[in-house]
Amino acid sequence: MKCERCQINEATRAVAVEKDGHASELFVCDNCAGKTSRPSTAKPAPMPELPGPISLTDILFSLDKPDTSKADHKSGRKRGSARNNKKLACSKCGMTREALLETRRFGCAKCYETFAADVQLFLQEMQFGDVHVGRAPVKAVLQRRLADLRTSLAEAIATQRFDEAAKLRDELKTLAGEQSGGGESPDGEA
Amino acid sequence: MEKHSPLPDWRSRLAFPGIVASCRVRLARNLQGERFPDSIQETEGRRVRDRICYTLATLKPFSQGEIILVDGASQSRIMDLREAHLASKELAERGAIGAIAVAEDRSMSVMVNEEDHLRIQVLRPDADLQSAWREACAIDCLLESKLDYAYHQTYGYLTACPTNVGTGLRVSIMLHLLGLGLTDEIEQIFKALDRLGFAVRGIWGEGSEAAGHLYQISNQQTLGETEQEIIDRLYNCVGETARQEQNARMRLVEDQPDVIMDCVARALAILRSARVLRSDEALDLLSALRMGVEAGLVGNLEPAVIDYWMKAVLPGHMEKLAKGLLETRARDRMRAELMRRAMTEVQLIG
Repeated sequence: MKCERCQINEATRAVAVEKDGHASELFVCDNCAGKTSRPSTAKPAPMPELPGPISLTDILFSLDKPDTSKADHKSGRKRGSARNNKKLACSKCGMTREALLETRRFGCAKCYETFAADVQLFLQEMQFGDVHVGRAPVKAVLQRRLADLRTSLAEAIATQRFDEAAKLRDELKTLAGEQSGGGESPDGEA
Repeated sequence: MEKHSPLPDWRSRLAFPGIVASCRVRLARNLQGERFPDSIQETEGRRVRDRICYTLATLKPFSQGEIILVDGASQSRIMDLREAHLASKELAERGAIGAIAVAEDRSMSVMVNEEDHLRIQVLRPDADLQSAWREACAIDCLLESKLDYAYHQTYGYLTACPTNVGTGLRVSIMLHLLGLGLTDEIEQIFKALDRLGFAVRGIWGEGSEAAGHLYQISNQQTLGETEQEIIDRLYNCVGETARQEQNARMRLVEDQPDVIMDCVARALAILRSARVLRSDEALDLLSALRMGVEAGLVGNLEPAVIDYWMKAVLPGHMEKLAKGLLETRARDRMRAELMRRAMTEVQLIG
């Protein structure tokens, strides 16, 4: 007799199963015995975080994944000192902290500074990190570079490294010129 | 293992016919010094809208396409844009301050004053997310040279919702996952994707139900990874999901041909006979038929024809065909009639 489960191998044993609410027997091969021998009257176990029997999930989990346990851990954190001062409001758009916590939407760019503590908490809950590592507007990159150059120039002057200071000053001048010039590309414009 | 290593040949991993339906890249941007659309006054909002629209009109894709003000567009026009995934429900509700720029070939749009001042979108009918990203990036660079974006050295591009801050990048791939639905494995897949930081949504995005077994898989996090890392991770997960769908379909065809044949035969029978057909029901039935075609169980029907009908049965397209607004019931009758006619020559094989 063929196995009633796989219909390929010869059936070697009978296992108890539940069919339409009644106890029944199924003749199966050795391979399929393990799959059907579990008492089917038992309620299915709650879904484990990493389901065992289905390999597709295992495959998905074997992918190069970020540390989501960190995110889970973060979401459980308490709101600490940011729980206070619900009346705090943004001077640019008038968004109150109370409204922010309710809607979880900022009113303007300045809100990110006004509600800095909440920003950190939101990012811990919602994001992989709290520092941007992607692309940036050319203007922002230039500004960053200019700020770095000014710091280096001040340091060079303070420590009397005048040759280096002169080079930095020239570089600063060129970059400042680029910034005011814009440097737009005509490609793609109508 | 090297983190976020790009796949050497992602195209072949995703080249499962009939599984990947489309892909989309979306960038969220705001203007420096302006309130975000949710907090903006109408006059201020109109000024921002006009400034952005004026800039968009100078860019090639949109100067040859069209720029539509939400308050000047008909309901059916907006519905048509929504069904083409060019506009969102939220934009449709922006009335006096909303606008949308659409490229001539409808592969690109920029929503103005939706949740953020700018939502740049590129859509493709395949899984080539990399090309879509390049196109979105090119438009972003052009806009950036003309508009000052709200940008923070630590947080990146600032957005109204903290879920978009940083790169402002949302990438998604739409998959047709009927096989996994029939084998009851789909919930497991969704659970795993959620754990990996990906959202699974229905055909109409956030908060929508799945129709036609079509699901959008997208990144949930936008900060702390580069744009390329986000894209690579999505490719990895979507590739695996598509592979599982293919396996599920093969198992169904080999082990339970009666299940798949029954599903396909029922779908064809209803499409051939129904007198009233809702759009979500039509999508589900066409979805089953599509799998039947791919499995070689249906003759006289090309996958491209089903793809056409999966768009044509939507309410906005129905109204386009009727050349006017239709009540729901009238639409459902018209849809059923169209399907009956379209299925006349279709045959079941085996």
